Amino acid sequence: MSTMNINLVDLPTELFHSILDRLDAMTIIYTLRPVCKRTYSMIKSYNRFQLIFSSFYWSDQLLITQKIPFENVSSIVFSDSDIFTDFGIYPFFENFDIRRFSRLKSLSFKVSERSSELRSQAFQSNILINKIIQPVHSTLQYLKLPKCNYFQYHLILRTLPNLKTFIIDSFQLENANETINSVQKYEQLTSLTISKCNLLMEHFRLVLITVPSLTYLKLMSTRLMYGHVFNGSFWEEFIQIRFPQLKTFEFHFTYPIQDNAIVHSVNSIIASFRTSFWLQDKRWFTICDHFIKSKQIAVYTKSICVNQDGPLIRCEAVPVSSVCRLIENPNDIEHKTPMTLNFSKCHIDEQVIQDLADALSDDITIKTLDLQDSRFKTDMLQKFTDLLSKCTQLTTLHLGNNQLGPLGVQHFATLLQSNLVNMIEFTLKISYLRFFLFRQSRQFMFHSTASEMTEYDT
Amino acid sequence: MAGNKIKLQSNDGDTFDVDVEIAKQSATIKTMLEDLGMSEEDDVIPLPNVNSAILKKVIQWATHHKDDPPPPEDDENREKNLSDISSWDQDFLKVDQGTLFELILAANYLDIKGLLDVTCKTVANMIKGRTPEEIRRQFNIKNDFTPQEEEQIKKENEWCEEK
Repeated sequence: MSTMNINLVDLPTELFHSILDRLDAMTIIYTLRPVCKRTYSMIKSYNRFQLIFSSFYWSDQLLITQKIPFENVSSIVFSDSDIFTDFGIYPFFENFDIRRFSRLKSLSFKVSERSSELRSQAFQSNILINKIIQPVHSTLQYLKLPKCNYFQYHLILRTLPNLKTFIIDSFQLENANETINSVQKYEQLTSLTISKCNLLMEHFRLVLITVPSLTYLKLMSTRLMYGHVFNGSFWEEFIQIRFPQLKTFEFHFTYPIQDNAIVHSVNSIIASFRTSFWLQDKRWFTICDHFIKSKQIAVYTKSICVNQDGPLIRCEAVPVSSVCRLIENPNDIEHKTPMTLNFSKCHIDEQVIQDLADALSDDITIKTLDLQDSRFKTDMLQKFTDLLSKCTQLTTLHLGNNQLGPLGVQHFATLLQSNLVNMIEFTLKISYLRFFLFRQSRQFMFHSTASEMTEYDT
Repeated sequence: MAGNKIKLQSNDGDTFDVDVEIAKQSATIKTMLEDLGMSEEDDVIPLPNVNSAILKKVIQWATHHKDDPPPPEDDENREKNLSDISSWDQDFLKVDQGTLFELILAANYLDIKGLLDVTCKTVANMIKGRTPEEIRRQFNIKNDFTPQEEEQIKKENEWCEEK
């Protein structure tokens, strides 16, 4: 396709440097610089080096500072290394004077989940702030921490007058009362990401209003209580009043549905994200998923990648009209409407029935529905059979291992009598009874595993 | 606004009708439309630095990413995670190297931060974990150092090679 035959070394220096921005100092100095004269000279003028101190080669990175001027290092990443010992991070810093990096803009600390809790305790200590962050306070613009509590959050924002981007993997509030009297504002921060946070909404709100100049906000949280975070109207008002400069808002909120608790349908949740504020003014497009198997409601912006198994019921707030629909496999990019749905071992409760009703209202393609072991409750059955009467293409229904009882069987019999489908076959296991019905031939067959009883009604 | 089109003209004369909102992912085109008062309906926007094949690819990328939020403004402080290239972008960038570098030039000229980011990450991934000789082979680069210069560089990197 290319007609110009451009090569890596033909790129302008500025663009070559953009590629270097995605590489660490070791790679740049030891593998790219010796390639040819052009790479050597372009790297000579590069001044945004990133050092990565990890368990395998942190000492190499210390040595590399002999090859490049300290002032040409703009970013340091401490990555799950020996520097986070059970004694904290201090032994490493005995030989490491961070003040030498006079133009350091970015500091990241990454701790993988396999790291011991003890190691991550290092981040609970304010010594991290005093020994590492404070010495570079005047230049630091970007900070990423694996953990941060409310006290540290304020201390860091007070300490770093030029901090623009703050990324916190896990935000904790140790004492709820400590937020009450906080009215301090930190105007310097323009980008905030919190990846894990279980604060109550009121505390969440109090954390956010300390940084009114945000242009970018990303929030990820599993909510223990269903509440305002799932309400687009709440965010709309909150953002309009508190964050007039916000350009990008990305979020992912999940709620594990508690037993018997009914929340809003995905249709009604997403309706609050369909106002002109979301779709036209801000162009922030939202998805609401109800994951049937894991019993979770998730509300998130379209740009967030969600890894969850289907089936799910999805509703979107996007500029084009969108209906609530069933999705068998969320990883399938085309999201074809499924013909077979496997809800086996899913708990079919009122929440599922209300969302299924929305998803199936427009859907005529479902042919097979597997609802084995779905733990139906008797009072749900009539609603469910009413729902199935809309599935005009349904030909096969598996209902094994459900405690339906005589009333339940009656509801299904009514469904089958009123249904226009040519043939419905379904299997029930009620006290070891299997039940087949062939409506077209007007035959009912009852099979008992105990007695092999068979009855025909012609 | 939805449905309004503009015409983009490549340096080899082909014209493309593009949805305004899609085209505005290019800060260069956005500035032309907003600051220079170019009308959306009649005028053709010439793009002298982009050929037809590359412009077609750029429009394809911008169309797929039309609903993406704008990337953070402080480019220098952005996360440098090389693994976060979406599977769609990975497939999209399975192209010959010439095309990849032309896409970088086009993304820079048109000022499309998202496309520049993902193309630079793709090249960085091609570099990472290789030796200098492997990089030469990968990108068809000639080693033009003199023996003396090569010896000097070896000395500079000495402690690393001893490991």
